[in-house]
Amino acid sequence: MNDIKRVLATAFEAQPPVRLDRAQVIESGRRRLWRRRMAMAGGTVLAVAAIVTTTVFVGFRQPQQLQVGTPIVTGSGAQTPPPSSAGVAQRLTKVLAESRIVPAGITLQALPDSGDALQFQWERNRYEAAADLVNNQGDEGTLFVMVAESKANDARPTCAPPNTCVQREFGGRSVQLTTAPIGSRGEVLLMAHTKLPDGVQIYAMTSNVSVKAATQHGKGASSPTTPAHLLTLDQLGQITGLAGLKL
Amino acid sequence: MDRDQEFGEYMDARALVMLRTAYLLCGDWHRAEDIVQIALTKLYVVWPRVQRGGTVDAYVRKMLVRSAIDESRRGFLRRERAVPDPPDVSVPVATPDLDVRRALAALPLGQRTVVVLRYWEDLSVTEVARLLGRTEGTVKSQAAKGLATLRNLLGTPMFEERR
Repeated sequence: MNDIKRVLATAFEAQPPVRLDRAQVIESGRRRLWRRRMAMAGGTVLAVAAIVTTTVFVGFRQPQQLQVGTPIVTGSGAQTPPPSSAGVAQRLTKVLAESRIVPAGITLQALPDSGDALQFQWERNRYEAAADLVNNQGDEGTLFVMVAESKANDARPTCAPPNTCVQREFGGRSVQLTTAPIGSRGEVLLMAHTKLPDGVQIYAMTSNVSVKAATQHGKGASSPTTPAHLLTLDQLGQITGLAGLKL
Repeated sequence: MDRDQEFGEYMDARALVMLRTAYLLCGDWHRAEDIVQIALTKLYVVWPRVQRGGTVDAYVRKMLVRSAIDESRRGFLRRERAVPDPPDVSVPVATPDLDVRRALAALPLGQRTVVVLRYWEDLSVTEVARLLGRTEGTVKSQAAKGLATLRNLLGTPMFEERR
């Protein structure tokens, strides 16, 4: 050890016990994987590497609310939220909550590390909101909603088999509704996607597997947590057709 | 071996080292834990790829630095901070660790990061420059300024710039 290193090491003399918990970190990692999967579920040309290396949910903190601006690229290449992101996220959250598209009998459960249930948070080029859904019978599913900036990659799900697609109109927007079986345990994603004239994309997805189950059992190891999806394609279409969901 | 097991073993082996690097970068153990947790969670997502490529440590180091910088720029340092001065009782005055902590805290974030990477992580000037996206000249300059400041604050003659 060189002299400088030896002096720096004296900073550790009052180090408290390490409190990092292996199981907790792995669960956080699984949630992060899940979010990545949801953001690109069925998508055609999402830049996987970009999403992998920039998604930040664990320890995410609300950005400061200031004026409009563009994302700030740090010296290390990482991005911090644009100053306006907190206000935009708040507005989107309000629009979604006031739409009351999620039926009254369904309880929203917040995901760890992700703020309140269905609270939008900024993430590189997009705003995302997620929650687990629970009905009165205790069946559980998931809802994920994304509003992506025009510069974000195309998030439109593929219609190649085994996926099936239909095109419908909601709120004056042309929306692609997609059903996509995932894996071999019976998980099925229902997705609605639309692209606005300014390039902004609105995407809503529900799964018949809750995030809680997905993160507890690991990738591809979860069976459906509800016999039927708790939201319909029609309801997802209504979400993507909400006039207030825009940037 | 599956992802969880391999990742868990890596975490168990490296968590302490990561925590110490994060602590030198941010100056607070609780924040250091936050930073390490963020880095490890990101690592979990890309584990198969970086492990296959043999770049796990480099990836983790980059994530630690990015997280530390991001947290700092999000007003991290404006939030409640650990008290830099020891209380009146039960802690000896001016212990060496507090001196180093204070000295590091006095460095601008860029210099501090360069000093930690260069002299604690033992990275070359080229490696530091690549990791931070700066020129080698900038890294050399920041390392020299950082060491000069530490030397002044700590009053130690041992801090000579390594070539």
